[in-house]
Amino acid sequence: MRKLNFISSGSKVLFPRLRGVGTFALTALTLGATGCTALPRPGKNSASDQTIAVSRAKLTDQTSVSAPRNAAEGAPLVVADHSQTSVVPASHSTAVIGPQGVSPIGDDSCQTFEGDAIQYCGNGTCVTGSECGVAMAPLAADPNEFIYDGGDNYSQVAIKKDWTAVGVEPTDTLAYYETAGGKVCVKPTNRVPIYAPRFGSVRQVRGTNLSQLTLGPQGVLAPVAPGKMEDAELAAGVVLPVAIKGQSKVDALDAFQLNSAGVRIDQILALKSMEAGRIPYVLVDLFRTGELVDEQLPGVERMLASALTWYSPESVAVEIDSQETVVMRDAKLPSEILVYETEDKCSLRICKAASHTIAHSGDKISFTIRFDNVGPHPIKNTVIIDSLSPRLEYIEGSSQSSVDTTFESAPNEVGSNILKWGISGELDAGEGGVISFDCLVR
Amino acid sequence: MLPKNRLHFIGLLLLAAGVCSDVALAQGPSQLPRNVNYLLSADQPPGYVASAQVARQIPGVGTYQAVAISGPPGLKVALARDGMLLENLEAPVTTGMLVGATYRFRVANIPYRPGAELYPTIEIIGKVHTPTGREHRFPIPVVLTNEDIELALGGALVTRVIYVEDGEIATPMAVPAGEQLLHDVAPEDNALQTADQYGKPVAILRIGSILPSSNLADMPRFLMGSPPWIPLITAPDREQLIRDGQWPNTPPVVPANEVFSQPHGLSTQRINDGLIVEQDDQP
Repeated sequence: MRKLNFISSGSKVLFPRLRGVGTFALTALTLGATGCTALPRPGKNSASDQTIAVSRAKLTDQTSVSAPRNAAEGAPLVVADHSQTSVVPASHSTAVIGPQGVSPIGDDSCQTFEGDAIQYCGNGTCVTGSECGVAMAPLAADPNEFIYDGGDNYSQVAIKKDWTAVGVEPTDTLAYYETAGGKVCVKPTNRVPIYAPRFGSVRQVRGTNLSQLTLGPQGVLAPVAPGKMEDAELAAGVVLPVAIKGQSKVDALDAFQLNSAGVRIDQILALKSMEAGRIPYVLVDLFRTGELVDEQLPGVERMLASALTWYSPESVAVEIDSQETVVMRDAKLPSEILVYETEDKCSLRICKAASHTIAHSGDKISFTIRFDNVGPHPIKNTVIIDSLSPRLEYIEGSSQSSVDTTFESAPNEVGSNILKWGISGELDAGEGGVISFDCLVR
Repeated sequence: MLPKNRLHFIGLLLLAAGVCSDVALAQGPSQLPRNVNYLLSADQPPGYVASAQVARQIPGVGTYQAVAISGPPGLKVALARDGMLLENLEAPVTTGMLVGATYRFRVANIPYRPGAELYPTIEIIGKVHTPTGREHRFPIPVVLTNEDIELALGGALVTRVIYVEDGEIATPMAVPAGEQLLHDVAPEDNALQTADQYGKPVAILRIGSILPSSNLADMPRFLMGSPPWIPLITAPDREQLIRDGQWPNTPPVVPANEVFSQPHGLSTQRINDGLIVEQDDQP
């Protein structure tokens, strides 16, 4: 029997956990400690959903905002929607990342780790590699000592018409896709730090009989040809006007499409332009035409009670046939609630985790990328890109995926690899998958 | 009795002298930027750069930093304590050395050089921020190569500035265990500045002294004051542990396509409170 559970936490982050699969569970737990965030789920728990309460109005449930896809050839098609999601509070994150140090067993013994001699120092503390009571002074982390992978650093990624990404730099990991309404979204993963300092040395040799030899070739390296500088200036002057003309054309095309699009959202815009509390009134003849229809009397009375709730603390007083209506002051909610989505949201949640957070040169690290469509609509053309750090070397043939994907590996500009997975077909609402691959620490 | 205007002149001179002394102090090592070493040089005498780091109060000054001294097979190392050199230890030797201090040690039992000895110095100028409890696993590697030893025995002064490589501009090549990335610079270059450009310098190794001082009265100075150090255990070699069967060869990684045999979400039931339960048939 295989049983899959999702851990429900207060931070709305869902972590997959598999019984009997130690490494994967470890990897999944890492998500909490590496800053992995989740999109809010649609529905009443989502604060970003726009909810409009109506009593009788029957409105369409689906409205999509289409984004322009066409632009000049080669120009960035859509500025990525780098929507940042809420950060998981520190109190909710799981801080278990692999064998983090050692912990005491019982009262006066310590468990071993990687064959180290562990010394018990009393008071429930264990020490590896140093004497009891000798402080090695843990200090703030130094970015030089880490290998980072994940996120979208420096320049933001943009997607071109040919469905390729520009601006993907080393250590970037992200997914881009198209929503049901045609919107192109880019979602970076969390950034995974791996502590793996590597040391190098700069050697200088001095001596009376060595300096002359070392100084010899110095003159060869010095000359710099000044002619190349003129070439660079000339090229810049030629390229510049072309770029400006192309850019203005793109802007005009985009602006036209934005203005022409939006037929389907007219109804929504009209309602949004009005106060929400007035919506019930315009649907009743009393307020629309001034006529009071008998069969609407019970409804008007009920409606006014609801209106009082909406307009609180203002009160509504209506006289019908010289008699004041009964005003209910109980804060009753309307009986019917329609969730109304007025925008086409980016709804892919993607997290990245590493099997180790501390590594040495030569170690193998397994990376896991988890992606889920947490939105109510399917997404398509999903592509996941991971440009590796120069300290990481992709192990050929180690890429695996739980869904059908196309995989490509190519060298990147820092001597490592850029990995690209294209997910075949659509990702329906609630669907997701796992991609994993192995790297060697250089 | 000096005239009044003469007293005013002397007072102005004293004031000017005070201002000049303040300016001189302000231009000392404590005013150097904390993240670069461009104004310092590895050419300076052993201990100068470390003193500057203490004056600048870089993070980690006064704490112990793990250092591992290694070399060719059979090499022996003797550390100093209380003004005298201790007995030889088999390399590699892992110790905790103070950041901001300079140590001299003896290298003996050099391969193919019977009786030859070297007395290098190691100057700790930076701290590696290793996770607590793992300090001995990430020591500063002080690697004495055969080439360096031969150069030093031939009369050359070999200076190695050891640095932590910047991960973003790291050299994209694998470094075998026990080896170290090496960049050679010309004698007139500033090796410390070059190391700054590759990462963060943490130690300066100088190999050149062949004979210790014959005058015992000079030994404390020759041994750089014998700053304190603590012994650390040497981290076990993982490859050796694997060969001995004490460490798993490969972690128990389960392929992703076995973890999720079918696309997630096809047979799941979402509940509003965030629980998802998927159960296969009973075996």
